[in-house]
Amino acid sequence: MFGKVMKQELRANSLLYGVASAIALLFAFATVMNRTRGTDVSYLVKAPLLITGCTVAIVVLVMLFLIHTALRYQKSMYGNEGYLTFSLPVSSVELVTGKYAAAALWGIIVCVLCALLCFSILYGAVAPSGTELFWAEVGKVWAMDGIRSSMVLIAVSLTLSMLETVAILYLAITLAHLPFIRKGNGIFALIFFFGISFAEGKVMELIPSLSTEYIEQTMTAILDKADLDLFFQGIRSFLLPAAISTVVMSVVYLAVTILLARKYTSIQ
Amino acid sequence: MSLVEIKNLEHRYGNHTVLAGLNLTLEEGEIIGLLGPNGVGKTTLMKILCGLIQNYDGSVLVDGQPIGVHSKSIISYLPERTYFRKSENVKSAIGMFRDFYKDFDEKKAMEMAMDLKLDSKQKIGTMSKGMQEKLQLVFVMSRKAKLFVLDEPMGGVDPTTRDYILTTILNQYTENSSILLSTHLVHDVEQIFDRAVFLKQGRVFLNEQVDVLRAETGMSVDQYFREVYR
Repeated sequence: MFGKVMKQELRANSLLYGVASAIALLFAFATVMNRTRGTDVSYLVKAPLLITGCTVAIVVLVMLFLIHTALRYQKSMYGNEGYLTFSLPVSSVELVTGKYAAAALWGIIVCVLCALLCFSILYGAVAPSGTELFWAEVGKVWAMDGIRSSMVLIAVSLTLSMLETVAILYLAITLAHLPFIRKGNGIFALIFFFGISFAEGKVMELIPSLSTEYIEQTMTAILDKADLDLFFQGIRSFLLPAAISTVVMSVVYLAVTILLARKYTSIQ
Repeated sequence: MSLVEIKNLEHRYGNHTVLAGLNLTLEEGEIIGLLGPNGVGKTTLMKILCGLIQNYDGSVLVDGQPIGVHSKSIISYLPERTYFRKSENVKSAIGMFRDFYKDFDEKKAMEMAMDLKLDSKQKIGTMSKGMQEKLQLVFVMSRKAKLFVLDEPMGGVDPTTRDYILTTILNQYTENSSILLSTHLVHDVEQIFDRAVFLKQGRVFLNEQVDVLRAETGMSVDQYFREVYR
């Protein structure tokens, strides 16, 4: 049943994400094509507009994903659709994880699109005459092990953070619909969302390699020495534990959400 | 083994007690009218049976098992409101029911949807409320469920639609299943009831076969209902 829940969720969101992805791809494609086909003069006219478009597309995609994921979860679980959702022969585990898996898949697609848009911005910011130099620099940077692995780690960490945000949203919305909360579920969901995020930040302070003090010290030392290898080494020293803690916390948030959905559901 | 066995069921909304130690047993092969005025706990009882409310005290067994995946797989539930996504069309809704319910008769649902002159590609959001309610009834009654739980299926619909709903319920009903139906339109529906269950102050006030009830009181179910809740 997990797969069926996931399939329904994917289907429910496909039109919106399909259109949003198509628009984002269009901007990325136009920015790249402007570089490939344009001369330096025509490039200068269109590039700023296209780069702005790509930047806006990144912001819109991420905001759309988070807001739509929250609204979709709220509607499908606690709106009128909840009457169908909770009467389906599906366990709470399958229900919540199925929805989460679908949201995670869309989240990964959004992250890939954002990465593509970022590349388009970088590529689009270089004049056509600098193309060879651009690719030579890209090749040089990518050949450096430390930088390559750090960039992958940054991308993975950002994606995991976004998926953790989804888990926090699910938990906050579930908490806001507990039976003793009669009114103002939306406001309570926001309060719980920021409350959980704040509490997590405080808990993370207890982990030495994730404390604000450690990160500040590491970054200051790196900037003082102005060494690129040292910079990425420093980033890896706190991004790796951060990525692990993000996965652990996401699992904890989902487990609590499932438990609450199983024991305290009350569709009004 | 009874189809439904409820013992000492209690539920509160805040400080308000809705169900106060309700006991009820339902057998297979009956159409049961769940009757009572507003706020007496009919919808709450149905929601508990269908797994929409899980914070209750007492014991609720369906087909010998607590409320869960098994009970939901044998109960077909028609709530008091429409639950399909507005952007969904008839065809995709059928696909969803086929995915989740092994006992869903796709062919029957399609035929009944055609009877309603519905285009399978029409978005549910573009249908009138009455049409959405009919469509939902078609889906619910296209299952070969052991228990149909119908909450106010005729609430707020015109007499023609009411007839359509009653006919659909009777046509799809088989003796292997039971129907638990709540309604305020007792006079219009009582002819299909085998049994009437009256709720009062969160408990079962009366649970009797309608023939026996009529013989003992000398009144129709509707007349007796008015007498009890006057």
